[in-house]
Amino acid sequence: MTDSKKTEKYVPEKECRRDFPSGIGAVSLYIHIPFCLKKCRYCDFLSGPQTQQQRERYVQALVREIRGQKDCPPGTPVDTVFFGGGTPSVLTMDQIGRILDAARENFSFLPDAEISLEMNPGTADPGKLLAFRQAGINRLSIGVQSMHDEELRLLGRIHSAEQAREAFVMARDAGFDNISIDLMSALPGQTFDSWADSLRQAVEWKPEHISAYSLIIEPGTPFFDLFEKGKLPALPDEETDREMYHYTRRFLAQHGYARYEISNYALPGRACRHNCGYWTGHPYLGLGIGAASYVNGTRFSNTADLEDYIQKMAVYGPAGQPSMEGIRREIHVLTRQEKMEEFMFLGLRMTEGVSVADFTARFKKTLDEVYGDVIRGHIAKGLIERSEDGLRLTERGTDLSNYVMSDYLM
Amino acid sequence: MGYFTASIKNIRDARVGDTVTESARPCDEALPGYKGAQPMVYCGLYPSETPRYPDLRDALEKLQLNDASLFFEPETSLALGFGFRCGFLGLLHMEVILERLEREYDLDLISTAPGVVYKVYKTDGTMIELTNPSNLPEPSAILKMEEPIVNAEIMVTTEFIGPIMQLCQERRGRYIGTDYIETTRAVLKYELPLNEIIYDFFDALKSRSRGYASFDYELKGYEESKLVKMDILVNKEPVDALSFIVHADGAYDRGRKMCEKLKDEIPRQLFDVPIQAAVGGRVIARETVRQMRKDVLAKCYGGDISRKKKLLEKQKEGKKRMQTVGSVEIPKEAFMNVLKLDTQ
Repeated sequence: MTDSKKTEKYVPEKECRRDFPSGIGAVSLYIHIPFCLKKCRYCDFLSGPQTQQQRERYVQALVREIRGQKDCPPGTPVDTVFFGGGTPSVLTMDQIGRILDAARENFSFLPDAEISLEMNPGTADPGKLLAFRQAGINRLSIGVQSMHDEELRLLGRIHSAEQAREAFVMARDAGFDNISIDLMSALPGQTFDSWADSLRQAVEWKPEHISAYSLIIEPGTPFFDLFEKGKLPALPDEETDREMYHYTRRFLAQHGYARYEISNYALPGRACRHNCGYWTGHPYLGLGIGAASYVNGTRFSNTADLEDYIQKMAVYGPAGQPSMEGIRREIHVLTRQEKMEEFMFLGLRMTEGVSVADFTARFKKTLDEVYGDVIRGHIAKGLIERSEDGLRLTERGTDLSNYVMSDYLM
Repeated sequence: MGYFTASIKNIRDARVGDTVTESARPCDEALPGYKGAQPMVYCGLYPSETPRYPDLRDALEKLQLNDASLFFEPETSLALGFGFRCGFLGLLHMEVILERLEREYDLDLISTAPGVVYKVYKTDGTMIELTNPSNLPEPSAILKMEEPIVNAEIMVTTEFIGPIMQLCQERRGRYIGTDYIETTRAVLKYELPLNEIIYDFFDALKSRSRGYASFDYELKGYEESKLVKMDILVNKEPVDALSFIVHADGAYDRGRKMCEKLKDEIPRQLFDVPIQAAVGGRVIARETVRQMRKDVLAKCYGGDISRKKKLLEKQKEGKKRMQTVGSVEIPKEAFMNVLKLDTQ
């Protein structure tokens, strides 16, 4: 490694922290599109291939949910929108347009609202991209995953590395000036060199944002079964996995990408505002099946059953609005204590950590009063450190973040 | 048979075999023929949840009410907290008592490895009867040690005589003779150290005779023996609950097995944790639990905070079951699993 000491010492930026609680009462929207052309072998998200007819019925239901929801009053300011999936880019430009139109009618989009859409490179099409851009999508998140075809095949991706590069160029040509790419490390059979090469190629494309996740083999996925049966190439050992992770931070820092969250890196000013909202207690409304929400101090999620969702959205109440009955699940009003816990274990995902002043302002108690012993213990063990105005994970603490965060549950 | 009332407020004040007399006109000596039973096997008993210590004490007192041979006294362990050192007539007695405590009194117990009573002759001319390995004096203060020897009779079908004799040899047995009851059955007579019997002897006997051997023993007396105390060190600190007395010749084997088992039982920590078996300060076996390198949730999907919180809660629960020994967190089950007598 030839990194200089200078890049090693990284001072996190302030750009991503939000006012806590959000002063202007803006809300983020998460819109779930549970469709893809083919399910990837590692994917445990709510998605799958569906017919065109089913997609259309779902889009109609989604539009009804946007119009019928009562959690946010009409005209609530919206600062970010995120189309996640699945593969939202399998929808037609018309469908995306109708969803966005409905959202604009029922909420009040702030002029600088960040509107992101996840795209699979295998669905890229210049006309569609142009239409998405014109419909108001201003940030694209492209699932590149790897720069090596054999790794992509193993993951069950529907595209090659070259197709991913072409999709990226198409997106630029369509006018997207804020693009993120997803990459995955710790893949079966992946070597350190292969990962380093994917990173090297990625920065050559000059995206504004890079998400680098290490693969988690989730139960219930084809990958898990293959893994259990010993039919996958060996996973990189823990040592290599951590080497990949630490190298990622150093390498991307050299190229101007600062890590702002455990798995996310961005050029200055390009951190994903929507993503940051999750870690800082910003309210968000999840629309569509399985979508999670946090509004008015309450967490809930929508039914995860596609047919159930479509049928329930078709039931209208007396006012001519969808009744929304039975859509919301796992409704939980957070207690003050739970809010403190979340403030800590979510806030610590951010590289800049949590602010002592924010905590006091929010809970009328100092951090030390509530967590003094835990904090002192973690500092002594080298897991967290004091920053100018708060606390943040050390490198070691980041590697062991679950261990650290669980101590903030009371 | 009769009844009397007296000002006895505590179960401990009246034991089976006591002689009751009037305070106004007391008798000179106790009725003859009643002897306190001498426990031969000892182990430490600890509640797996510390607040249940008083429940354990009550349960033991109640059991003692109709079983005068059960002996117990409070003891503390750095690793296991508050508990009792309990004495039993033999292994079967111990198993019955443990079973009754768990079943009838609904207690969840951690028991330390059973040990016998050693006679330790000190250089100052005194002798102590040692029931807890932790109380063994410094080696320099020990003149000699004696251990209990039993006369053992093993009845076995002739086809298994070979394997059983081999087992007795391995357990430092002294062969006395063989009586043939009939052509296919014989009684093997051995002198065996008691501490070899209480360490998984029954299981070994059963497995080497396919269950056909039966076994009986009675105390013969004490004999001098080359005994050493084995300490188990976790992260360089001795864990008192895991110390035991062993014959010098078998020390290396036992030490190595203990370290291997502990390595599997102790979860990875924030730092490398050496596990060592030591005799008199000399380390004879070592394993290392490698430090935890990675415990991080890379992706947190679409704001699904509840899922993440559940994961953290599970982790938190796991931490609660840990006993901190020095700076190492050890799950309480680990003590049980390591001390469990097995055939390995």
